[in-house]
Amino acid sequence: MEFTISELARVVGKSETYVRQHIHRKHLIPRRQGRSVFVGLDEAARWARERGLPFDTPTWISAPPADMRKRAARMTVLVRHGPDERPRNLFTLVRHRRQDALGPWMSDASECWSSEDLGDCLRLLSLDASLERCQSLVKQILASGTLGTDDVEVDYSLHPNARRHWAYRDDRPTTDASVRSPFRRHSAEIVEYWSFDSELREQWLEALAKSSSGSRTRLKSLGFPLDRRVDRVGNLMIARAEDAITCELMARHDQTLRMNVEGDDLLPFAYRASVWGSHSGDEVIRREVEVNPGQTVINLASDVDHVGFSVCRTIDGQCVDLMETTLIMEANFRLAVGSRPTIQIQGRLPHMSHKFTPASSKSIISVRADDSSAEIDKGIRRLWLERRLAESEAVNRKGHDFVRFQPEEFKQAVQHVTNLIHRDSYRPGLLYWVDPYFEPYLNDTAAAKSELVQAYLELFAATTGRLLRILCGQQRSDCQPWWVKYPKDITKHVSVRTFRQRDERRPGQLKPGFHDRYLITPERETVMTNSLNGWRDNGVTFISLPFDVYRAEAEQLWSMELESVAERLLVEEIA
Amino acid sequence: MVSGFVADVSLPAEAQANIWRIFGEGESPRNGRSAFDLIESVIRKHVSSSLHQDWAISEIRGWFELIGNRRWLKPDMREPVADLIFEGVGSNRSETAIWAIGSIDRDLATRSIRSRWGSEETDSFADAVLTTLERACGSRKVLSAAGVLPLAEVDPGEATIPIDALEHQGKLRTFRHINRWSFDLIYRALHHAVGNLIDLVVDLQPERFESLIERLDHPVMQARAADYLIVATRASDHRKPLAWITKDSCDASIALAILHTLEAVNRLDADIESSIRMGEDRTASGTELHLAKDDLDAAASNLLDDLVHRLAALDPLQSARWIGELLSGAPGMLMGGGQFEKSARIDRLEKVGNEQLAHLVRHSWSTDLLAALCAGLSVDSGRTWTRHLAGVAWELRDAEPALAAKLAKRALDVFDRYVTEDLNSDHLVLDWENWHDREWVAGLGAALALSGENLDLVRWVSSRCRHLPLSVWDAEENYQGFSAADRAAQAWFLVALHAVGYLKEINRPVDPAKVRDLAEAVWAHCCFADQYLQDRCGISILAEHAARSAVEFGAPTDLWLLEQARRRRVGSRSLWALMDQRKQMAARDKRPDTGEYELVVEDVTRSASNRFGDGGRFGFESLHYWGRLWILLGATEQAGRTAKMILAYPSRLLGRGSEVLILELLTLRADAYGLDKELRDWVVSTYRKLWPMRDGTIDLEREDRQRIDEQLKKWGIVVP
Repeated sequence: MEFTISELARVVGKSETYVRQHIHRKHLIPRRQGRSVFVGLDEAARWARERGLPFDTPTWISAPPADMRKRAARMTVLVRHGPDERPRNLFTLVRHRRQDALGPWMSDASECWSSEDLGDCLRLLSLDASLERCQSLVKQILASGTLGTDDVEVDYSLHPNARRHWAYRDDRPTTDASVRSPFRRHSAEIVEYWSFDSELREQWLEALAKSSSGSRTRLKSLGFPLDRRVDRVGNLMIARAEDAITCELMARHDQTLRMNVEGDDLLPFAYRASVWGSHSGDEVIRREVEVNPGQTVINLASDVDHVGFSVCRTIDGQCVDLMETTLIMEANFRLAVGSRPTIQIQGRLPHMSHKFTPASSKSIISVRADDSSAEIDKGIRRLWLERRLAESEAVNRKGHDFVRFQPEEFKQAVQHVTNLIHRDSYRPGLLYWVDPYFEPYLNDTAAAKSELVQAYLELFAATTGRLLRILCGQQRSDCQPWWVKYPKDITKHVSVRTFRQRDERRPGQLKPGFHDRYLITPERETVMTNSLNGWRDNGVTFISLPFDVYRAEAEQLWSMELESVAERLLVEEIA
Repeated sequence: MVSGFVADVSLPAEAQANIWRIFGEGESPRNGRSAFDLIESVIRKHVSSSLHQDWAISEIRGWFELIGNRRWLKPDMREPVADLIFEGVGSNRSETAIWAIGSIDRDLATRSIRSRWGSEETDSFADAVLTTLERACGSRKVLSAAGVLPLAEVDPGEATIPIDALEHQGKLRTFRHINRWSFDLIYRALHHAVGNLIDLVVDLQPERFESLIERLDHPVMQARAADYLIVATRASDHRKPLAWITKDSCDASIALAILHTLEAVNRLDADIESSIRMGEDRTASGTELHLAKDDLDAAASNLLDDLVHRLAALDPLQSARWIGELLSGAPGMLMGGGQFEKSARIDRLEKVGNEQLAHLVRHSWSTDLLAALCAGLSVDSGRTWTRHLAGVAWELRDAEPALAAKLAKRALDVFDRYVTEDLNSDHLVLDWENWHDREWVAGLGAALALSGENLDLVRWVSSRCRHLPLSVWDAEENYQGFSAADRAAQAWFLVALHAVGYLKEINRPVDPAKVRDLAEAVWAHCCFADQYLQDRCGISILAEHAARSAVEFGAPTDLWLLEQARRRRVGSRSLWALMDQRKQMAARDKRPDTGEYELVVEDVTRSASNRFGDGGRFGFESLHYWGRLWILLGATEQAGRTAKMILAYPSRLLGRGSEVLILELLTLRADAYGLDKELRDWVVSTYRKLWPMRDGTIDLEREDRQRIDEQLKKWGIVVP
């Protein structure tokens, strides 16, 4: 779309001489064709904008619809080809976008199929072609139920009616709203033909279970995460990039949002956009912004940790692009030590710098931010994070799957363990207490008063009548274990074995043969984040797991032969 | 223990006569037991009276003391025991006898041999030592890992160092590696008696050095011999190692000669440095040359030249391989320069080396010669070795253009192969800070220029890029692959851009329009790839090269320049480089000031300002190039805005370079009153921090400081 000089002069309300002068002074770059001179719409708009001239797009100019431009497509087909089976479509994706977006190195598409064997009876076919060619292939599939490539015929089982939906650029983790756009810089309009073949879905799940990480990596070339969206197995999806306009929203933690818009021949008011942002769950901005090529700066009153925008076509109100993402919060402070003994700390906001000279090499430094708004943001975020932590912990506490005890809750922690043991006492079976730093050699005189000894005694008492096996990883010391003083409390139901291995870093030394701490009852396996002798100082968290991995490990360790050099670990029974 | 005290030996005569057997068997690396452990068995076997046996065993055990976990002969017993060994051995030249003498301290043994034996006996001893050591070469126990620093905690009874662990591709590389660990390997790890015997032979008969190196097929033994000889002779003849290079020399001799010649050059350079630092009189000398009048620098240069000439006198295939290996290994062995800048010594060595190689190629060309040259060059310099091949091709450009083209194509083929391999392994990273990489690319540029007639550089690059996964589909599906392909494309572009200058040098036609096309292709690629790659914003070194080449060789019109300033795909670094190169050319060509430049500057400033806006969408590095552009264009308002943007950029600690730039940007304006108080304070405090003294500005900052000083003077601000 181009203007003649007289048309351009009319549009900006200036004389033709004015326009000609600007061309002569190279302020305006025209296209010359023989003796005729034309100015492109982009160039004219730029020139007028730079000089503050009115530039209303004349009614007689209208942008060609994006559909009229040449579009390039990539068609990918994931095929299952079991032995003695006809190849079947597991998923087909046709993506198409403007030809000029492919990059400077894409020559005309060869329109030949390429094929890659992914193993596990899977094959990925790929074709780069014009949109028209891919559309004809889709028609062929819908008409005949098969796709004929150069050397293979793939069967489809599709419902004839398509569903239309939109795939946006929602980068937030753990959202399950919609299929995400297969295009990095654009949202997409999707036409999807569904398959309801349950056998195929089962075969895909089987293949997934067997697949290696390598084949999953290569599966990325499919352009669709079929391993996560198994409800789509057997489908045919056509994704059209909404690339008439390209938008980006940047947040740099300087209390501004910057929206960049690009688009050829973008007409004023053709789109409208809404931008939003929140901080610690509170919305701090939700605003309509004008969609103009270039950058729009939106000032904020606070920090943001989550931003998004949507762009809608004015003509029909359709949202053509939506992006939403959670921002990674940067570290608040950086520490630099200069050549002099002065330490300088600079915050992430401008001019937030602190300098001081430590009194000694072990000075304790407290730093106060001098920017009041940043201080508020940090405080709010801290409270919000604390609330989220407390909420999720409370939810898991209800199911007794996640229970945390602070150092001052030592007794409650011991009580929790004995409760766990009692709760499962109706089920027969062995109990394992596995702790590389189980402490059986306490100071003799202090033993009776020791909180630890009392805790162990409670544990042993709770397990009376059943077999308790204790696995530890400590070396035998010269003194006797404390429990020899409690023959009445500790019966034969408790046995203790130590499992040690050579320490490769320190020749001649032995180290514990395992590292995790856990309690196994017949009903559950519970990981403990600390050894019992550290509960008083650091607290402990109990996490119940359904995996039975630790049970297997405990049984495998206990089955090792005592004091045998043939074993992986040196095993000794110490009580 | 008092030094010099010698204890008496009181033993039955029969036992005295067999002392050498204890030490001979105990010191043999083939025997797993120590002399102390063997006392009883040897005495019981060779002493007839059981009473004498017990006496002798108890007496001899008393000669040893326990240090650590091993028993050593007490210092005061070393001399009497040495006498007993020499008397016991007599004219015996068996292996046990040789190891017995090997157990004696080197100086003591040398003194005893010189006082006891004539030349014939010494000859026969040296022959026997070589035979014994030759046999010992295969023994695992020749090298013990105990005591070697990285393996210090290894059980001494168990650990040995397998010879495979020491041998690298190429003898020179092997010796270089050994030399790096020299004290540990050749003095601590090498079996004590083996080391002693080597030193003894070198000490008693230095003329046997080359046959010793030839016969002992063990790199650590060879390195020990060379090291001992060098230590003994360097104070009298720093050129000694050159004599080890002859047509009949074995590979190990030549490699050791190269290594120790380069070490001698390093010693001379160290002397030069210390004479500069401490004054001539107080210089500790590493060679027989002492004062500046000896011209240490010339001596070092001559040494390098003569080393290359010596190697050039070998058989052509050998010569090509050794000069190749020298060029490949020298940067790692000669001191100075580091990885950022090429040292003058290396530069000199490469120049002489390339000349000799060109001479060889010209007069002894064969495919075997090329293979030998490539084998030598590729030993020790990673992937950048092909720069030497290109260097030789460049030397031959006038005399043998066909051969030059052949070598050039080989260099390019190898590069293409590396790129193809790296696309799968993600290793192709050009480090432009590293001079090896810079010279590699420049060399490949020369090779490209020499590789054929009618070169279309844009087509050369695009034919390669079209086969890479560089489409938007690839960017979305396979980020790693796309990123690797981008690095390959950048490397090819850089090679092509360098080729332009070389084409000019060899008077091949270069169409300026094609150079501009090449630059525009670079920017198109960068602009496209930047949309999909993290941390990129049109500020790659490639973008700057494209701009400088376009101005230097592309005969750009003002209109073309202006068009680039308006285009979004021409990033800040390119834009700055376009204008900077234009200014440099004008200064170089002494073009008269017609006022045309001001017009262009005005237009470029307007276009660039429109693109810059408030600068908020540009990254930290990009802002620096915008800043430099404003300084070049004298755009004060934009400069101030950019300085504030850089200062406000979140989470950045400014480096010295950034602070100097911001000072320049802020002081560009005519007065200080446009700045708020906080910024004015920042200017003053930063200036004081950067340059606390009136003098002593480093060269790199001198011009910047001068400009800033002038501006501050205009402001009326005086900083010390």
